[in-house]
Parts: sequence; C-alpha cells; structure tokens
Amino acid sequence: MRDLEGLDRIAPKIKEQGGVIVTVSMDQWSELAQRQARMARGMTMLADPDGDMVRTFGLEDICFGEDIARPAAFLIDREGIVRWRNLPTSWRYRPGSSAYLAAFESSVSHE
Amino acid sequence: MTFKPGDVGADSLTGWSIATGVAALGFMVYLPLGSLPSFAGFSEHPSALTVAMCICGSLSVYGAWRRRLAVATVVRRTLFFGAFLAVMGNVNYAHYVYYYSHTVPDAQGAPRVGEPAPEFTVPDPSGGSWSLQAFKGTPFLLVFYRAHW
Repeated sequence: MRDLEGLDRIAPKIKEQGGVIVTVSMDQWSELAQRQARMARGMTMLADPDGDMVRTFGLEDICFGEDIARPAAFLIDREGIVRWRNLPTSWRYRPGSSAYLAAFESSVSHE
Repeated sequence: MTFKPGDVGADSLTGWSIATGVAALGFMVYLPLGSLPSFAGFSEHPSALTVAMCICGSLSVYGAWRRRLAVATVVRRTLFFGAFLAVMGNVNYAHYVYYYSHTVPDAQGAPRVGEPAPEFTVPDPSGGSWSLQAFKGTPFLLVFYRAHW
C-alpha cells in the first residue's frame, strides 16, 4: 500500500499536466475494490487476475506459488510509445513517487 | 538465576525483551508491510539493520544463556523460545536482503523505450473494458505492482 499511497499523492500533479496514472496488479477485482476504497481515486486501478496484461508486458512472476507481476513502470506517451521504463532488479529498490513524477515531468517537457 | 532490579543490558528483563523483539522483527520483511509505513527503513537501510539485528539477536541469546539454569521451567522455556525467535528473525531478514530480494526475474519481453506499448485489453466487472486505445492522446504512467504494495 505504501507504493500505491505514494502514487495516489502524485496523481493530482500528473493530472494537472494532462496525464494519468494506471496501476495494474493480479488481484481479483473484489480485492482491488478494497484497496481503491483507501485511495483518493485519482488513479485508474486495474485488476488483471488472469495475468493476460502482465504476460503481454513480459512481467509474469511467481511468488510462493502465487502468480504475481514483477515490479515495473512504463511511461507511455500520447501516441502509445514507451518513453521511460523502470524494471527494478531487486524487490527492495522500487522507485518512489518522486521518481515517477520526475520521469513524467521530464517526458512531458520533451514532447 | 533470575532477573533482578538493577540488572542492565541483556541482563535486565526489559533489555532482553527489547533485544529479542528487535531481532524478531526480521520476520516482518515477509509480511505485508504496506500498512506499516514506519517500517520503510527495512528496505532502505538493510546493512545497518542487519548489524543492529545481529547485535540484538546476540544479546537475546546471551541473556537466555545467562539464565539457562533458571529454576522455573516456564522462564527457561520462554527465554530460549525468545532467543530462538530472535535468531530466526535474523536469519529471515538476512535471507530476504541478501537473497530473496534479488530474485526478480528478467523482463526480456518487456517493451523498450521508443517501442510502441503492446495492445492490451482488461475487462472490468461492469462489463466494459480498458485497453491501450482508451488512453490514446493521454500520456500515462503504467505501474505494475504486487498486491500489497
């Protein structure tokens, strides 16, 4: 939830710049609804319980026998082109919300 | 030998309990920590925490060993169970920091910078669906995360 809360905090700033945050997890929709209830609803939160989208992006992983998405982030521009990506090689070093915001602002300023 | 007022460090019940508790916190790394923001340091200062936990684990074992001849069986069992938890907390934390956290798989198939994002469709419970096309014309940050993050 710490990651999500960080994203939730920067969501309004990204929205001000014409963007949006989309999160994806392999939760069931019912589980996701519980998480959404704790957010300010500034993000689009998607559930991908079957992992179709996760596999499409090549991010499938297994943790203690459970299918999960490996941590990853992509910044996709208005034309659908990937402008930035972050694929941490350790569970411990995931980018914080400030890194996401900086990447977004940098990308938007170069458009 | 029992705990007495005036004992210090691992020789005091409070000191031993704190040392044991801190070392046993090593179990927390495998639990959903998202609701415990104060434990962010678990990820951010792993080496310092490893050293601190090892010291606390050692103090816990030392405190239990000093009282291995305690008369009351329940005291002995509590001390050694606590010391066992402390040691296992150390092992658990070190396992996470130095092994498990590096087991993130490669993402060779992930789209690269400059490439088009792959088409996707995610049905939602209301009967609609979300797709790449739905975000056309809007820059978006797409974040994949593990459930409890």
